[in-house]
Amino acid sequence: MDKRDHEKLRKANLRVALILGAIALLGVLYTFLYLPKVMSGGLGE
Amino acid sequence: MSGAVTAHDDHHDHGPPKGWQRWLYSTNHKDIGTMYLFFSLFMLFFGGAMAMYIRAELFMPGVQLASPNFYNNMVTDHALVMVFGMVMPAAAGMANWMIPMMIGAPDMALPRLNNLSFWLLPAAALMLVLSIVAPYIFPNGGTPVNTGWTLLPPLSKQVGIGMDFTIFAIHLLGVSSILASINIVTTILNMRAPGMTLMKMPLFVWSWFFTGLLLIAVMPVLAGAVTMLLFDRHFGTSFFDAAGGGDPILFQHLFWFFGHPEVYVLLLPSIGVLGLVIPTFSRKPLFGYKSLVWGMAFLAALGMVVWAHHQYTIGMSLAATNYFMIGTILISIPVGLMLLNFIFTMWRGSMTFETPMLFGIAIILMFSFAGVTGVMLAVVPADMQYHDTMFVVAHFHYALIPGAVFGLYAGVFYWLPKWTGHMYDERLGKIFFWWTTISFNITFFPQHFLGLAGMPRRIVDYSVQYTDFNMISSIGGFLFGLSHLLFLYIIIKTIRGGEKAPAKPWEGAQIGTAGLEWTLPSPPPFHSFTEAPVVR
Repeated sequence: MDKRDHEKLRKANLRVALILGAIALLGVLYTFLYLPKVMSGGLGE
Repeated sequence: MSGAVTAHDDHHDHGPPKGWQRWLYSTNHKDIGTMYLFFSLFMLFFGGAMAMYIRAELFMPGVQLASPNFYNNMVTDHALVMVFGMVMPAAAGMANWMIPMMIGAPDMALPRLNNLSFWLLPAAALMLVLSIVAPYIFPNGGTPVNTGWTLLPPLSKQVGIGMDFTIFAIHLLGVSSILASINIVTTILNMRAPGMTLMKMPLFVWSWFFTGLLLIAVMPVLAGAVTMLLFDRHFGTSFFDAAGGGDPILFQHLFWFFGHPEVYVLLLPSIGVLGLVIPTFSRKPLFGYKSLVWGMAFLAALGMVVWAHHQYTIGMSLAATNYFMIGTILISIPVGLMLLNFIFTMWRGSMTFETPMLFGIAIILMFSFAGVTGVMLAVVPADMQYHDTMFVVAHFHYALIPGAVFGLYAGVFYWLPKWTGHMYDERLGKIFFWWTTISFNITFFPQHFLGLAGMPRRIVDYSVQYTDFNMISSIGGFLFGLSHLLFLYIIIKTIRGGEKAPAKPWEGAQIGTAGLEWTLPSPPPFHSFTEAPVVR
């Protein structure tokens, strides 16, 4: 693999990793900031 | 993107670095896989020692060995160590070792992140150890972490400083799992060799693809929940405190939103191993490969939306209860499909019964049994009776030991020749199989009867009528624990020498959708593929 392809692959890997990382971060924020508001009465009440 | 990838451009044939630096700074997927596997082996004995204490305590009625709080602390940490410290790192170790070789990649997509994912684990283990000893070494250490692995408030708000260390341990374990999952999913999506299309990937790779996605989706929720617990404990918030307008039930929902998919995180990699072992030793391609892939996708998706079946007794609305009951029972569809596919793979195959295959067949039989008790527990009126009894303990040990741990044993015996370059001692492997399988059943089968008779779980003492079954269970437990010394011996013996393993030690290993790992010598070179292999 030449240097340019290697760089392209590195960037593609980083892009996928950042998207997955952003999903994980959203998961924490959703739990921490939003869920307590909507679920504070317990499910189904 | 599926790219043709090789090792770095200026590749020259250097070996691994020497000494401790090889391990501390490693970015090599095989070295990191080895570290994961040894770490999980150590934790198997650490968590196993706790189990031995638990069974020794329950051998007779009365409090024999230590305080009730210590007992509940051991119940808590046995679960945390086995789930986060043993099963998950063992599966991650196998993924590290095998996935790049299976898909024809030179290494993981993000090798430095891989190093970080592993080295967070020893730090987390240290935190867990501190959580156990903290109540005894700090002057105002408070009570030990006696909550069970669910860490439910309000109890978890009241226990001592050990809870803070447990929360930090979960933070580190969570970060480690999320980073490892990101790495594995990225590797699968981007690093496949030319021609290795998604539907040509070995089932083990698919199983880790779904496991990784599940972990990325649910682990942050646990991280958020325990952080909220930490805030409640120290910063005056009331997320889970009814006195401040919060709700302890919210924590249950958050925990089980993570906790139930976590069961599939533990099971899926073992299903992936089965997808390799069963065709290999049946000498037939995997029956229904595509349906198995979709079955795993369906299992992962359904596993994320049925969490509250762990909480029927809290008093949910009828609509919610019905939804969670029906959703849970639906899970038997993809699971049944997978087990039937494995049975049809064996059907009229040219079967042999090496140790990995024996474990594979045992998994199908015993995991099905866990499925039966699982349906019993899914039914609300029945669960009202079984909830918090030893029946639940028996059910999830039948699910997790055959379903996850035996799958890992099958994987260890299947890949030991590839990893070490030596064949393991087949006779000892078979002795280990029969020893663990029989002693496992002696340990956990009687616990169904104890639960049906009303013995509660997480209780240090019990009424005398439960004595006989508890004694049988404890004897089985000690035998089960002892069998793992043989496991350790087999591994050490295989590492140190033995019959030389060929590149493909199993006759049927390349039947159907097998990976590229068998094209490499045993053990594989430090850099797996210096030129991109092409899959036709």
